[in-house]
Amino acid sequence: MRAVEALYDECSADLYGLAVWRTGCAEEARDVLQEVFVKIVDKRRALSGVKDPRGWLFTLAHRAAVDVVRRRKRRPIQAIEEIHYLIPDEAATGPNPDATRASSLLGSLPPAQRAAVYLRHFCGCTFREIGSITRVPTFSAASRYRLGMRRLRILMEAKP
Amino acid sequence: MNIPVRNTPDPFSGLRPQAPPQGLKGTILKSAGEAMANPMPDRWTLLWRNPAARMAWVFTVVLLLLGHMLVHFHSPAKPPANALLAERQAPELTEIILLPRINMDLLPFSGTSDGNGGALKLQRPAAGKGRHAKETRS
Repeated sequence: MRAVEALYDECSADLYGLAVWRTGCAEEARDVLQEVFVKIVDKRRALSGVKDPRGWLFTLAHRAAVDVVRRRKRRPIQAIEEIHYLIPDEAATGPNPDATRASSLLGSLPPAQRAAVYLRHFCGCTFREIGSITRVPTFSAASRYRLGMRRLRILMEAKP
Repeated sequence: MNIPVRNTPDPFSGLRPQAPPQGLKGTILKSAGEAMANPMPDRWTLLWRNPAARMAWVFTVVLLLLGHMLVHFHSPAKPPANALLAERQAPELTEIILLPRINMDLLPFSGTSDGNGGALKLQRPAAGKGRHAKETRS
């Protein structure tokens, strides 16, 4: 259990972020994270054969998030404005950006583009890794990221 | 493959994704502990629990049954025994089958079915026909 706890401390933030950005719902992201760690325990015998643990964890989380979204029969409980995809970083210097507006704009992106932006921007994944995690070709992963970023910039430059 | 991103200002500067809630760690570790306490299922159980594997198994069984029915109901009638076929088509072959016997009333163990479950009545070709006749003449 210590290993699981250490793994949680190490990876939970990235996995939870991916789950939030992919599902668009904090409550479902909690379920996704829980499902991921239960799966890790269930597959503990196969862990030694995992070549890329980080990519494997992201793949598990992404797949669980997609399953949750598929199972969802109604609209998310939270409105788009209530989901905090981003929060102000206290450690960062410079002007204080509007996290609520950024979250609102991110909510208008398609979930697949949002996940690509998250994995590239906040987790530092390559497009090949993003393609592997989301099970799409590398070019599709790159297109999703570019389209998402372009749309986000256009929305950010527009008047609030 | 990495495509270099153009040198544009970072739209997320000064922002970071939100961290998981505080109470979530305890819940997840509790769930993981419960999962750890359960005995690990063997490979056959995992295979049985796998929906894709179960569907493949059902599909295979149905396919085999359909194939069996197709072969059973659409196949031609069972061909008659070789001996009967030989008698109809080539008397010389009948002669080969009918080996020289001391007692002609005795039938061989095999090759005596007429194709309908009945016993086949073989008749020695008439004298003067076939190889045996020639041999007896000589």
